[in-house]
Amino acid sequence: RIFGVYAHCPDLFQGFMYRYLLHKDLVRLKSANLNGCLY
Amino acid sequence: MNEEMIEKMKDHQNSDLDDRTRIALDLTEDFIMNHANGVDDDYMDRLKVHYSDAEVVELTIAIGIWDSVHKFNNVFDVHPPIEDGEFTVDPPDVPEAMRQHILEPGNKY
Repeated sequence: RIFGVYAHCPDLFQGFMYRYLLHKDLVRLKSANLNGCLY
Repeated sequence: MNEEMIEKMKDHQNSDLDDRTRIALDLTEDFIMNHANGVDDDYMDRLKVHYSDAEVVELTIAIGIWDSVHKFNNVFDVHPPIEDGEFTVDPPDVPEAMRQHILEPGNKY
């Protein structure tokens, strides 16, 4: 309407990518399912 | 990860997934659909039967990240930052074009 859209805010994008450390796949798919996303 | 596990995930409370997995999916569902208002002291005690304190914290962070990613995607009509599609075997990798944005020198990405 305008994932890596996020780059419009490069400082925030770097922060997100840094955390995305995350040092779980079922949880990801559960979130996708509940939020109406494919994956 | 396979299609059978995906189907069990969708109706995890009535599945034969182990208790440790089901309580993590309970937390995911309550976090996203009920603003985590279902989490009380008793629930936390049940989580701690299966997870260390650090694991509970990481699980909650992971749920929060994915929930925000999926809602971000809905706002902008885009897809998550993984390349393998609906079913994956290994942890989702970071697409090549996005790796330059990870700052940790020791990070495997």
